[in-house]
Amino acid sequence: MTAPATGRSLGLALCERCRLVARMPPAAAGARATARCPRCGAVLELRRHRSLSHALAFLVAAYLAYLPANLLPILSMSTVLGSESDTIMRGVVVLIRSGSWPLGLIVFVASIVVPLLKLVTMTLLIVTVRRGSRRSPLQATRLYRLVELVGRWSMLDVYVVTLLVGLVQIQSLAIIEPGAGVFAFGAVVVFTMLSAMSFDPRLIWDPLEDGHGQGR
Amino acid sequence: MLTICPQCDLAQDLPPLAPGARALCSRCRAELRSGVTARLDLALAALATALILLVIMNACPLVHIRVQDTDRSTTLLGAIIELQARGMSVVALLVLATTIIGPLIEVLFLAAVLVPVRVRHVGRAGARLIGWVQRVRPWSMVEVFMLGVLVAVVKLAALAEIVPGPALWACAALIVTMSLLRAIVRPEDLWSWSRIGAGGAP
Repeated sequence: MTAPATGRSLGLALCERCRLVARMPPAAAGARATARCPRCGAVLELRRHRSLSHALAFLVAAYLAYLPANLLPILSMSTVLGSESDTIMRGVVVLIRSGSWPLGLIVFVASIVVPLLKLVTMTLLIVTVRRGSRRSPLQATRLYRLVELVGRWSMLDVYVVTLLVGLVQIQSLAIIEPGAGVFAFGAVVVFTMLSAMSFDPRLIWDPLEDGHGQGR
Repeated sequence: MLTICPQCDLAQDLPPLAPGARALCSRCRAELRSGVTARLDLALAALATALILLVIMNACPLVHIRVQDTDRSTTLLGAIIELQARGMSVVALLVLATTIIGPLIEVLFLAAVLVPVRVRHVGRAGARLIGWVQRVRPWSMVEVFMLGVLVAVVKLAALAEIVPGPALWACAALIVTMSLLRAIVRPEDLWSWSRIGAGGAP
């Protein structure tokens, strides 16, 4: 089977900023690229610089923050009805119990499903690329696009806490204090987003090119 | 015309696109180009709208909260400052960056590039600003914030009467304006718009 013609095999790079197809100077093609786009001046790279190690580093940071994010309370609320402190999961349960299950479902997806999906997917993608796997690159690319698309929505709980704290300043109504969990949760969101941003999806397709099996 | 897929690096020949058509990569199905016709004036109108909405969203109260005889209201910035006062400076900074600074940079930088494009061309400084717009876009989260407001309101509904303020409506309108803006202003369009501009006819 002949290898498909890719930008790299032709010595052409796509400018990430202005989408111009530009010829890479041969000297810079293999090593660290310092070539610049002739039209807009952005740095031209065949593959994002150190994509895999950056993606992995951010992913590890996200994993470290994940446990405290889910175990520590993100909010403590004391009202005349009593006081309670909510973790992410408890917040969802309370929302569903209090009657607004459609909203509860959205929060469940945004705060529980999406972060988990991002961690699992990024792990899978990084392992796939590290092993130089040629299996189902289309599915892998689709997963990557899904993660890029839904990643930002897990910021939801951070905003909810901000608003609850900001709105309820009336001491007679309730006292709301942000918990350490919201810090950890915010860290998970930011680190998984950074991990997905540093990952270069072209790496998924590189093993299909004959003779370039271990492209990084 | 030869193009390269940004997501899988496949080189492929792209025929001229009909208006409204989209070209997908034949291997990984990523969008290569859309035939959205370059509408610079529409983009400028959307930009002006977004700017006005951003001002309203930040200057006006987000929600009013009524308990018995007291009526309190909070702005977005007020909520962020409150969070900071409770020892959550980093989280407050994150919220500030994603709800106020992010959208503001996106809109202002685009305006700084597009207004000169209307006149002549994208300069090197303009190209740098576009790079920033692309970098900031994922971090500007007005739509996620809006959903956050709704969840917070529902959570508080049992405790007090909540009345949406002008900033909330501005936020809703801003979501529509910003997605329109993101759909019509694509980085590669800017250079083709400026080429048209250089030819004389707009």
